[in-house]
Amino acid sequence: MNRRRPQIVCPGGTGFHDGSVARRFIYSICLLCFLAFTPLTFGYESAAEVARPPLRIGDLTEFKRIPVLHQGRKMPMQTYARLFLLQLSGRAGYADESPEEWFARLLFDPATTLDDRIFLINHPEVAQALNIPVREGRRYSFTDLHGGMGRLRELAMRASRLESEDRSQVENELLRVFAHQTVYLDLFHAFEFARPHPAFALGNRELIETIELPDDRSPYRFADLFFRAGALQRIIEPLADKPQSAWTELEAAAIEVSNTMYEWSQRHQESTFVLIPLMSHGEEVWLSAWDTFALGFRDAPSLEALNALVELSEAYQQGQQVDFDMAARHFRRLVVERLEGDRELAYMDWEIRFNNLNLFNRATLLYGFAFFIALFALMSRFKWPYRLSATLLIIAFLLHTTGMIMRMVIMGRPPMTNLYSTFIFVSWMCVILGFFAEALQKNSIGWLTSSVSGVLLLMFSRRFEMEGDTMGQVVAVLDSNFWLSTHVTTITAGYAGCLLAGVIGHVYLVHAVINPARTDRLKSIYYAMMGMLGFGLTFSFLGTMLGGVWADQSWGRFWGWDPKENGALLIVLWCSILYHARLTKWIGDVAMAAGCIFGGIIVMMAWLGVNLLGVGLHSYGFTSGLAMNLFVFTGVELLFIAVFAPWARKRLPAA
Amino acid sequence: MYWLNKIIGFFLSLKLTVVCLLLLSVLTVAGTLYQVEYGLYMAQQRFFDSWLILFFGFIPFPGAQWVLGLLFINLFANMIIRFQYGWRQSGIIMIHMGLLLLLAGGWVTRQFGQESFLSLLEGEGSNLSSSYHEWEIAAWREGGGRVRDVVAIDADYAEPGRVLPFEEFDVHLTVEDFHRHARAFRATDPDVAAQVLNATGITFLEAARPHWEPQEDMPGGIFTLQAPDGSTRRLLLFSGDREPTTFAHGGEAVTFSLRRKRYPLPMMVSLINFEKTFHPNSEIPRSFASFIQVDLQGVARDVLVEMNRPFRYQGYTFYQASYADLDHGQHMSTFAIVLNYGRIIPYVATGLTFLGLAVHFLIELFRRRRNVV
Repeated sequence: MNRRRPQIVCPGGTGFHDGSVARRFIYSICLLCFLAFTPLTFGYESAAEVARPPLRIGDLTEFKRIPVLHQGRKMPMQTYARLFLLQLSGRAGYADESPEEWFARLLFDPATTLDDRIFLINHPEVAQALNIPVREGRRYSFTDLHGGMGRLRELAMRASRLESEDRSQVENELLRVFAHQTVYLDLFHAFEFARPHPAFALGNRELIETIELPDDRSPYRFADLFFRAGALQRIIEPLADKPQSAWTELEAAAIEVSNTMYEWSQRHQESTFVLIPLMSHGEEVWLSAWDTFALGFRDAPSLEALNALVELSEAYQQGQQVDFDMAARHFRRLVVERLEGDRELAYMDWEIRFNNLNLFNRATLLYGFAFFIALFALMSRFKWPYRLSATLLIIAFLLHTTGMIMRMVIMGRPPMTNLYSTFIFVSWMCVILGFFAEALQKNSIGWLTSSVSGVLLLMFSRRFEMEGDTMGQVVAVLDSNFWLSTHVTTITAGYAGCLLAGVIGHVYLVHAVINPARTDRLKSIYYAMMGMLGFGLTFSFLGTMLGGVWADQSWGRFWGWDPKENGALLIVLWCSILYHARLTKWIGDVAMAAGCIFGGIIVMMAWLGVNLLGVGLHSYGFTSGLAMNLFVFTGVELLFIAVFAPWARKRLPAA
Repeated sequence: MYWLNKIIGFFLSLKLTVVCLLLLSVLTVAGTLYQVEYGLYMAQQRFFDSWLILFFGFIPFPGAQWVLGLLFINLFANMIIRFQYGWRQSGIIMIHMGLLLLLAGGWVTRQFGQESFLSLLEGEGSNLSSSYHEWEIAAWREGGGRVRDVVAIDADYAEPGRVLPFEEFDVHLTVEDFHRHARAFRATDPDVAAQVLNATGITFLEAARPHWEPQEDMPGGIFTLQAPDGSTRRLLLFSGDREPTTFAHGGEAVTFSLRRKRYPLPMMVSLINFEKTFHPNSEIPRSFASFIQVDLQGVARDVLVEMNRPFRYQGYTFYQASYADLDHGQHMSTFAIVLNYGRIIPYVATGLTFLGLAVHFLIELFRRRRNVV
């Protein structure tokens, strides 16, 4: 663990967070109000007085298991830490630390994170606007940003007044950095109640004795005084009718400390780092530790939970592994007991296992290796590259499948609930279809297309991880496991078929250019392509129509010309056009291959492009970067068709 | 005979199929992009419910109705004349029969479907639903007790110069002006205000640009009201009127209102309770549910209507559409009500086409495998 000399602490904190893309609109509105009304009270003082270099806590297994509520979902601390770091820095870890190691430092010894470069600023103009030196690597520490914080607030306030479509990239980036800095500060102070602070260095010995504080521990912690609030109250209560001039030193000291406590509890209210569940009017409500203090919950389980959190922080500070684990376990048990039978809590260990196994990243790597070996197998006369690529692909596929099943078990839902999961499923489907093609033809084309689809789509899926929780809650209208598992599964299977037809179309054209004499192989590639197109058409049609059935069930109309429906219809229309144009002999094999590649563009437009329009019932999460990616993809594919299709036609008659 | 063959040949042509599919693709792309600027309803009207489109105001292009109609004829003609009926073609036949059925179902829904909504407060009941974007000019005689006979004329007929006869009350309205979406104004001069009859005090209307979504439109019109004795008054009806306008004459009073078109329902629906739940500490909705009581000719029963769980009765389907939080913790729940006699057709068509596709491609797969072997 890295230890740094702390430089500053910032006791002023705010409680606002919105990491979710889906809630960006709400965020934009709230931000304006928030900026207008929230005082930014950064007082700086020497941290040397309060920060003690902690001893090392080597094992965070129990810490990882602590449940946290984030955007309506209960997740393990490990997932929360990973999400937080991914959103802030674009990386799921810091230097050689795992996300939970860094996160534990932020919670329990925050001063050591001030110099950690975790704020990703993509646009150099943002750094210039904040008058801070531009860093290479685009990552800044809180200390770096510190000088420009006033300016950041001012610029973010101005940007928030603009309509989202009128904001420039720099303005969006300013808002993002401001939101991240706010969440960082929120977490920076999340456990301040459990650390000694000079504000609670009581000078009145009588007060220390009266409220039974240990006299050798000053400065005290906020929590020490909160747990003795009853004794403090007994001193303060009679003062209502007593003039201030008549207060004794004990009474004046009690008033002073209670005022400080009140100010602290108000300052840290509405933190988004919520850990403590309560049942209020039959509804589940979660509170942060600070809110539990501020709202004065003094029931035994709440006090026990707060005490466990104090012990957790103390054990970390003192490097007491056993105490740390016991406190974490104790806290977790309290949460589980309070929410007995909760499904999300029951599968939390599965999620930790899923995070630790890192299955999709491993599968991506293996698909990548398999692709290069399959490419070699195509050109080689040896059997071993063929077998090796098959073995690697099967292992990658098993990891991929396991990952998908684990996600399904953790969420208790079908494989697809958001854009991220459609990429996971479509890549999986493409791999299966490639296996079928290989089983029928045994010429490495199946391995090649499986591996290339697997690696590219899985790699692309990773960009959605940065946008928030990939296992987030499903809104009421989508909350139907039956329709999610029928409509969404079939339509994405259709996407997979058409995409794979496009991939095979590439292979066909390249093969026709390189080796037009091998007509037998070209024919088999052609059949594989047509097979995939047929599969794509069948499932796109079924998926589109099942979408209509779902719409009929939910909204009372089968078809409404919504952009997503239109996108799906376009896939079906394009596949039908290709088949019928082939029958009329308007197009030949080469044009068919080019048409399949163009079909891939249509699939990407239907899958992602219509979301960019921002209209209709299906316009869920996207980022501006996605538009550029789609634009580049389309351009590259069109260029490929423009170069290879005429070239292949020229070469083929000669053969 | 030559021309007949030519015509039949045209409708049988596979090239016509390809052209129709291409035209439909162009319309779909254009209609999708159009929504960004003008909304879903306008795109539906311009591209998908129309027969002819003028791109850029002067380039004629067939609307989806033409293309779909032509596709239907093309398919039908091929089914009758060209298709060979046998086991090997069973997949192809099923696909095209399914598609024919799908097109037919779309036509039935378009011609005979009816969409409306019903908003109810907790404790409130009704047996009338309202149209989303159709309006009517309704009139009734005041003082008729609990039961009221209402005469209503569709606002579609309200074209300038037209006479709307309310013969039951012996009055006629001649349309001076009618706007699909209007802005209403009040005159400050009481003399001007006295010249126009309107309960809310509105004295003149100005045409405004219609909304993207027509349910947001606020229509209004000015009429010349002719009384039984031949005297006339200017009557102004605005959809935003706080209350209906009453015309008193010779001891009788007739009340007029411009309101959303009403549809009678074959049952009385009362909202008992509306419940909404969110995922903890978030604004992510978990469920919306309305507990309603449905009175079917004297037999009442409680029904739960929630997302993805509608209530169906005699061709009517009630869906949970939206809700509103009112003062004192009261809720208003809105149901979308659809009457669609062709509802089942797309289901059958989808099943048939999918089965056909599956059969066709499996036959092709095995045929190719056998050839390869």
